[in-house]
Amino acid sequence: MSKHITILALLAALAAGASAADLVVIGHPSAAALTKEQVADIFLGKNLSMTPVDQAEAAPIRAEFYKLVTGRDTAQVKAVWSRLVFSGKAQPPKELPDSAAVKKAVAADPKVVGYIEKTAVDASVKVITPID
Amino acid sequence: MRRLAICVAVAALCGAAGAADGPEFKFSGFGTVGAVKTDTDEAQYRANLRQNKGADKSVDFGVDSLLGLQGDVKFNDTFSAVGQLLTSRRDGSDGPVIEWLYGQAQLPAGFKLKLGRMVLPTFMISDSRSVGYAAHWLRAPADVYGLYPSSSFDGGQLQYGTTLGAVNLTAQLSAGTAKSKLFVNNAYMELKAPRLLSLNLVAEAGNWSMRLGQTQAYDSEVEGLAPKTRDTFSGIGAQYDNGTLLVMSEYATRRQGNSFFESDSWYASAGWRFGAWMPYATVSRYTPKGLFFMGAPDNKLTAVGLRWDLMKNVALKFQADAVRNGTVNFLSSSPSFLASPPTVHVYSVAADFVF
Repeated sequence: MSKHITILALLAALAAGASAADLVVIGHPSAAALTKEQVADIFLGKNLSMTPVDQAEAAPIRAEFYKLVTGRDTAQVKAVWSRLVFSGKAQPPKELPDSAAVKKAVAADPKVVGYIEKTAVDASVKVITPID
Repeated sequence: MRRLAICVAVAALCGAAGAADGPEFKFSGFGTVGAVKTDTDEAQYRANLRQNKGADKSVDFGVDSLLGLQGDVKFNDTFSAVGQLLTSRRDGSDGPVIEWLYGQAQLPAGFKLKLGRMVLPTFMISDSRSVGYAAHWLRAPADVYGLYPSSSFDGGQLQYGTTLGAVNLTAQLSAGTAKSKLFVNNAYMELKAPRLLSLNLVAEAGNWSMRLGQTQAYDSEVEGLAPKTRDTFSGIGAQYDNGTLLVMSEYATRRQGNSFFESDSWYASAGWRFGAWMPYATVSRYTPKGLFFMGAPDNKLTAVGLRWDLMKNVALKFQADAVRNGTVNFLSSSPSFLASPPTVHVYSVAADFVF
């Protein structure tokens, strides 16, 4: 029983930690603002008008981003994209090694959308969706 | 027509392979390793009408196991091509067949044109019905998904996609020809649909997805069993998935010019995710209608299952089904089984993977 309570407390702590995220969705300086729902559609392949880019598969920011924006964990996101890939509709977001690479890709193309830590934002990109 | 469409796709593949800029190639795959057994030796259980063997009290590995290999080539922002090889038990062989091979062009204003062999969008998840990893259940309910054995067609498809506020809309108009083999009465019979016309509409908004579609097959026939007639297959479906709760349901009807094979069917399925674990349940019903099935009882399925995301790219699934009067599902039935079909329990385990 006390073991269960400890696990629950841990889970609660984890959940609380995740909601205090300091990450932002960034786009090209000329890009328009997007709602959280629009960002979720772009990163789940429902809206193919923009080009999403991902952080490294093992990066904590990636799991945190998907949990906060889409409510899904990385395995579920993988299942969503496997459907799109094997229906020939779309390829999953290109994976970039770190936030610097995401900023570079976003700054170079008005259609690219990425996510980075709030602290990594600079003048080369624009925050198009703040995540609270 | 069929040959021509494939030639066009191959030509598109080869033509652009020599492009100066260098096309981007991507290879990926999916598969399932599955084992099935039932509680009867009086009939064999199969997943669909194209299988000529199934499971009984002894374990069978061919009902759900399959391997798909896919190549995607992107020539430039406009042209791309997709090929998919599928190896599974169907049409009397276990060898690989070309499931898809098409070239596509992204046209202005949200239009897209595809030519070659591609998926026939008869159901809500037609486009990934072989990809177990993408689905929560172990296999799609045959009472609905078993009713359109031809999973792909040869021809062309015009697609239009647009976004209205928070709603993403897609419309697909397809025309072409399809063929498959049905194993009925212990022999393979050819199902031919030489002239198909299909419209598929999908609306997605947030956690909701809805689908409405109709496929017309003019001069549809099952050689040696059913004469040529106009076959109209219509379906409507809805899905809600918020990441934790998943609910989906589809309703499908078949009507024919000569009222031969007709049916109404539906399923409803729901699951709840607890981290890597997802218990789910599915119920489905198939009501046979038309002259061929005069007075036949409904088919009923109740299934419970569990998906476990075991590791990256691999999901393990367990499912137990209670099947009653499975018209699609049973073959080699004994006279006593046919005279008074019992409820058959089917136990399945499968590992779905993608790479």
